Amino acid sequence: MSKAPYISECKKIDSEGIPVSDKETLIRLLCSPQYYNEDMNIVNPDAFDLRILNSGDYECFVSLGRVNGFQSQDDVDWYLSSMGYKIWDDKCDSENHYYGYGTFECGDAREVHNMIEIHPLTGSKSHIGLFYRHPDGGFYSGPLPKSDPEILEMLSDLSDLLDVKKAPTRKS
Amino acid sequence: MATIDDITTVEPVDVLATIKDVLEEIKDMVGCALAAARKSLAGGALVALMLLSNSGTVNNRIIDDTIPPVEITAQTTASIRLATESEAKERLEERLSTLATLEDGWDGEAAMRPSPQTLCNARMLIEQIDDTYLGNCTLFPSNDAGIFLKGRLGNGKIMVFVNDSQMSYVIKNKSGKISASVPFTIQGILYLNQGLEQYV
Repeated sequence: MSKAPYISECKKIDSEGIPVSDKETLIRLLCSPQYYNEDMNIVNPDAFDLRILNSGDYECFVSLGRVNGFQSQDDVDWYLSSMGYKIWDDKCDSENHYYGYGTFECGDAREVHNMIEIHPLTGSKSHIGLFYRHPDGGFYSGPLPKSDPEILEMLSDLSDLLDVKKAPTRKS
Repeated sequence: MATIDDITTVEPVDVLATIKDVLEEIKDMVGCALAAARKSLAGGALVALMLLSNSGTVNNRIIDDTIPPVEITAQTTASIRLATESEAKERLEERLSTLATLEDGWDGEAAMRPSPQTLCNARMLIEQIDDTYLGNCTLFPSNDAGIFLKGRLGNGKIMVFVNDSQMSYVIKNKSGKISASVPFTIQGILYLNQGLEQYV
């Protein structure tokens, strides 16, 4: 497997947090119109890649919502509607705006590849992190080397897990 | 001696005969150069013509008035492929045009927009893959300036990633899969097409 920037450890992992069971339902927010082809129901593999943030930092995990971490479906709906608009208000006009989310079971993601690890995060009950273990130890940091067919397949299979739904209407 | 203009203004059925004449004349030339031209023919049909050399490594240039020139190194036996526009390819071409308008930060963070060379490579990829495999495929940007081609193929699926210089792909169905990472060349696309024929 290709080598790419990595970190030796991630302090965001909450080793004492509530473990994420295989049956737990997780949410991946599709916060860009470029993450989903609605007509063909195909998800962009980039939805599970590690991003470079506007701050210049490299993500070391994919942030996933934890349905169990919300008190009610209303809370889930509020989270989804507010997050989408928060990201795109200043950058896209409303006609081109699209956001949605996909759900999947934690165990299905773990089965995709043995480099995938899912851990609770410090300071959050509503989110967990999907990490990619690096061959040199530690975790991948920043965009994965997609020229590597193994990683390409992994990202594709992860994106195919999503049962995509349109996010609920924004609540004022 | 036939010229490129002569090749691109004849009816399709005559193109092959003309190309054969040209190859006969140039095959013994040292360091022969190949060219591909893209022209519209009568009736609006769009024909892409690719020539591959069997004289070792040569530098080839694609002459196209809509995309930047691309240098390709080919090491294959002579092969000629005529590709005609199809509905699927037109749809993907349109999608590619949309991706070309993306700006940095399209993901809400610091994602890079597809690079010009990547867009060019993706266009070539679309032109060279057989129409029958593209009906349920679409294109996506990647955050590192690359492009994905992803879709369903019968009872299987295809995933291709291209960037400035490289192409990686995975083709799989219930029987198995093939995958590769190759420099982005005509040879690489040929291998991809062979993989598609084998697995779909």
